[in-house]
Amino acid sequence: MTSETMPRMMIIDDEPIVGKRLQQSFAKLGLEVAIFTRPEEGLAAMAATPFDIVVTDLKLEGELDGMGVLARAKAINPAARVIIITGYASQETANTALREGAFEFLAKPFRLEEIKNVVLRAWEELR
Amino acid sequence: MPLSLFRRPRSIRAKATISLLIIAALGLGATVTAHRAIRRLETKITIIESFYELNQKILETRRYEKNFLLYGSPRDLREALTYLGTIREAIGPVAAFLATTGKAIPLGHETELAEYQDLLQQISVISAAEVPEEQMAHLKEALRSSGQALTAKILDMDATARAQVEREARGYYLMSLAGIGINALASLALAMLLVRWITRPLTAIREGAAKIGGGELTAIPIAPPISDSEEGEELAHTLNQMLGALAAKQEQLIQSAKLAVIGRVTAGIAHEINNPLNNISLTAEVLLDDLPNLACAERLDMVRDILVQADRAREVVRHLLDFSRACKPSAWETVDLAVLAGRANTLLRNQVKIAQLTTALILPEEPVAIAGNPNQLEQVVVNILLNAIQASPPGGTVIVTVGADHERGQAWLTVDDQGPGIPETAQQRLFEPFFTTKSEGTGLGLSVSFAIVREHHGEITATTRAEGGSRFTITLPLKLS
Repeated sequence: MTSETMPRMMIIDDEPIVGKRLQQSFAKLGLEVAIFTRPEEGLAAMAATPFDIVVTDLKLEGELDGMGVLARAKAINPAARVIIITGYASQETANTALREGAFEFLAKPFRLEEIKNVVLRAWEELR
Repeated sequence: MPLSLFRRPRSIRAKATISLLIIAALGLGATVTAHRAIRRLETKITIIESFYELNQKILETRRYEKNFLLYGSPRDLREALTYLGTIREAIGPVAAFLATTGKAIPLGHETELAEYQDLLQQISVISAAEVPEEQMAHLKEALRSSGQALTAKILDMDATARAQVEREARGYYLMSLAGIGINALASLALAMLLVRWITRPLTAIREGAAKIGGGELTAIPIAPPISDSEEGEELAHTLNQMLGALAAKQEQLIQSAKLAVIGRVTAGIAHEINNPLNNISLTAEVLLDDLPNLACAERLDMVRDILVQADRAREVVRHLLDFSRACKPSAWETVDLAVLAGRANTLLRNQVKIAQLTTALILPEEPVAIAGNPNQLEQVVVNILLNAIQASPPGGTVIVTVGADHERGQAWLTVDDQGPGIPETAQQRLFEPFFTTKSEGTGLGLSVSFAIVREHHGEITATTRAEGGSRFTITLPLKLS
């Protein structure tokens, strides 16, 4: 990946509004944003064309949760920056996520500014 | 009913006192009667004694008369006359005595006495002068027969008096026997009445307590015969106060167990509130950031999103409040067990999601109506469902089934999980207070659930299913429509 190409970003959250709003916001910054409510779909898309930044909810319906997404995304693209967001945050789950290689851990409700800063930091690192 | 007169005293002490006083009065009456009888018998004996004296005097007089007739000594005649005087003197008090007794004995001795005295005087006067032998013999003969008549009269009086005294004595004897009998009967009746007075309120309290145990009553009704007794009323009142305190404690316990349940569902609830909050805040921020560039339709769409998400959060809070609200234990109403299962499932929706489980609700089309406290029953279902969620491995399914057995008049709800089942060692103690297998458990959940279901005349059982996992079954009586 070069500095000229825009990073590709994926958002997985079973709350469709989260995806919709973040897409609105980050598209304005020039990122290419794909949104999914089911982790399987997101990972399938990633297997086709790897994403650089992955934002995923921790608790997801179905067999995969945010930690599963983290592992799979890292397997597909070890350089991917995975940001985990959750509505039920505990220090323990945050520590586990970070140890497993998450870039950042954000508790819902978060401010738009917060997630923007995290994503920009990840972008910076990718460059 | 004449007994109502005796019902007036209300305390056991007053009843016992009155009864003992009555028994004492009866005893005193018997003693007085006996004493009076003895006194009267004494009087009779005195009368008999005076008749004896009279007899002696008559015999004495007749002895002098006989001496005179044999030897003709005027001295004997004078002695006889003197004795006759003493007889007159003695007969007065005897007659007076007889008059004082209940039945006066007719005397009628005056004629004989007067005739005898007259004859004695005649002879004494004549003997001084010379009278023809024939006339003298005639007078002597008259004197003898008059003396005999007087003796017979006095002896007859004596016999009559004796018979009268004996009759009266027998009367007193029978009277005292009757007195003893009446006393014994009255004392027995009074003792039985006293026992009844004391035991009837106690029996009524015991029956009331049994009914409370059976769930028919919530307090001992203070009515006759309990209210007829001061101590009974106090005892029932104290017991009712104790029952009230116990009910309050039970209510507190149920509430504590409920708070413990709420503590266990915090994760799900937090998740469920944080999600809409996050949606609201994100949407508002994007609106704020980008308002001028957004199309009007888009702005409207976003505002609607905010409102929908606010409703969602409000709904979660409402469910939680509905659940946590303490309900009066007596607030029974018709409850649809299927609706109840749905509500419990809604409350735990996110808990299920967090545990990466799915729930299946198998509900009948017809409502399953039972009578009870919806709040408490929901607490039971939530508690059991939560246990099933905690026992299930990720990816498992918790199945809640509601049904009705109309033939047996029973409604039932089962919760099946795919957990490890119930360990043999826990099976016996599962519903005991403070028994828990969880390190952070209070051991109140199932024991309180058990108490609530029992109060609703139902049963709750737990088994390990043959195919694995445990099944909790609640059966409750169907409400007859």
